[in-house]
Amino acid sequence: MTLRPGSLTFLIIATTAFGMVGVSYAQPASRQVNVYIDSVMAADTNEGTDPRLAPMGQKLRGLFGFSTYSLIGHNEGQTDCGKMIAFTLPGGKILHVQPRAIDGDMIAMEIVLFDGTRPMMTTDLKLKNNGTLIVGGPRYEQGMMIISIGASTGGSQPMQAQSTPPAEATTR
Amino acid sequence: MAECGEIGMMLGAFEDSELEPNEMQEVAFHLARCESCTGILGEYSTIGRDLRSIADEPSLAGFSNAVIARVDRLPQPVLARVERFLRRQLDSVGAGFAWGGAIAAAAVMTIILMTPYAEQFANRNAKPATSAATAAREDVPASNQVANATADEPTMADNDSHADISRLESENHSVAVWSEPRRDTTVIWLPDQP
Amino acid sequence: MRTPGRQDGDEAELIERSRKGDSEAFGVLVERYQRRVVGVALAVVHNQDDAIELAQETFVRAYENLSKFESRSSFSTWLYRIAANLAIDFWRREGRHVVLHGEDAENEISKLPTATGDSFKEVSRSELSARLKQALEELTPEHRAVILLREVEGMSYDEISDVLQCPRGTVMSRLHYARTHLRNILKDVGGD
Repeated sequence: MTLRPGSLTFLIIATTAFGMVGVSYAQPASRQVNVYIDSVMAADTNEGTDPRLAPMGQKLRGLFGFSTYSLIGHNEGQTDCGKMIAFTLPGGKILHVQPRAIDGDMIAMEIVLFDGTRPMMTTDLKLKNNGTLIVGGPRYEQGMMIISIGASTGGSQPMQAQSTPPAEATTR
Repeated sequence: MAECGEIGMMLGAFEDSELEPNEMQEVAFHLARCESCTGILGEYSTIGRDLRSIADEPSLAGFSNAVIARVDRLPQPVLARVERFLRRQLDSVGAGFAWGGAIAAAAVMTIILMTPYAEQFANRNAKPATSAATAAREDVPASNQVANATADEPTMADNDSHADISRLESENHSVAVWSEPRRDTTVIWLPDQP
Repeated sequence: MRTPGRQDGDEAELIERSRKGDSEAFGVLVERYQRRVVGVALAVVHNQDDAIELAQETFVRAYENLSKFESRSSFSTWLYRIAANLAIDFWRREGRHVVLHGEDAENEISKLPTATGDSFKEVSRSELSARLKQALEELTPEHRAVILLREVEGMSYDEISDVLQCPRGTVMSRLHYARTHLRNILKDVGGD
């Protein structure tokens, strides 16, 4: 089956107009997303868990089994959906977080981790509101770096280290 | 702690992210402390890369035509041949009706959008003033919602995925991902390349 | 993240039409899966011309047996399974039988010399390619199939298990053996 160009154009224009009306009703208002980053050094040096990590220390011990966990950086920031926020982390790492949309209780976002200017990892994911993503593995001094990434939309916050003065965050 | 011999058997599956979460964890622990196994893992990813680089990509020009030519030479059931003939006839007649239907649908949509009838039609379907009572019933206090959620939470925490990764790109061929539902956490593992 | 092919509504319709003798509909399915089917055949027989011929035969067999295809499994997996079976049969019938490491060698993985410590040394590209191809030839078709289906075709262990109709544990052990073998060969090349 084929349609003449004229009929097809008419159909496309009418469908587009109808669709635009629907989209305008469906478009959600822009919403802010809070992002929390904790940088942790994990090592086998038997120094115990940094007290500032108290809320998440048990989780880290259960996940990784090291004997030392030290908080080496804490960053937090706020951005709108569609805008990227950048964090400078210890060890020359840079983290870009760009929330894309809020879908119910899930926050869709893109995360890019750089080692200097070299991208180490790019991921698209949906994170539950107040949920945590952990990125681990890069060597840091005598141990390994663990980066805990949390996000929330409301006033409550995901499990994170007790806040130290936030490091610099830039929003684009 | 697991020995290199045990871990060695699992390195390939770790590289392929095909282990259970607890096994991924065990291998990750070991790799964080064992340069030898980390080196072997790197060699596995090198092998994979080399295999992909030497892989032949045969030209498939004309492939599907050749297959269809062979298929068409196969003996066809009589019913299938009759049905095909009838379908071809119906297709040519049906095209005209399809045009008319498409134009009519486009015209109806335009009328609905551009005339005041659209608004009246929308108002006719709007909810009456009793919506205030409905809203009151739906406006459950936040504390009750939290309480209800907490009651259901034990099973939700076990089954609910709190991170859904749709794309993960990395130059690091040893990247691994696993989920720890009991700890509401997803882990992405990026060991340093040897 | 890899997922096996799933039969969606469009594909179900194409299969149904193909069953009724619509070769055009079947042609769409051929276009969709030809690359992968050739890849599966190539993973076993390691020869382009043979792989293309086997892939064509796969589609013809599939067309002839569409009535036997049950929608419970995915069409793609069914297709790849036909391709793998045809390829393995072909190899056994026609292929070179210079097999240095047979099925029994799987039980002797620990006896393989293990490369220790050092990373691969620099080797010329062409030497590596030639040596790697030869090393692949030395594997049985089953071992070669799993390593190529995994590394080149990007199939998951479950997909490979479905296609080759062997347990997932067998896929894992064959992969381990194949990787160890290739690693040792390349370590020898690096040591020359």
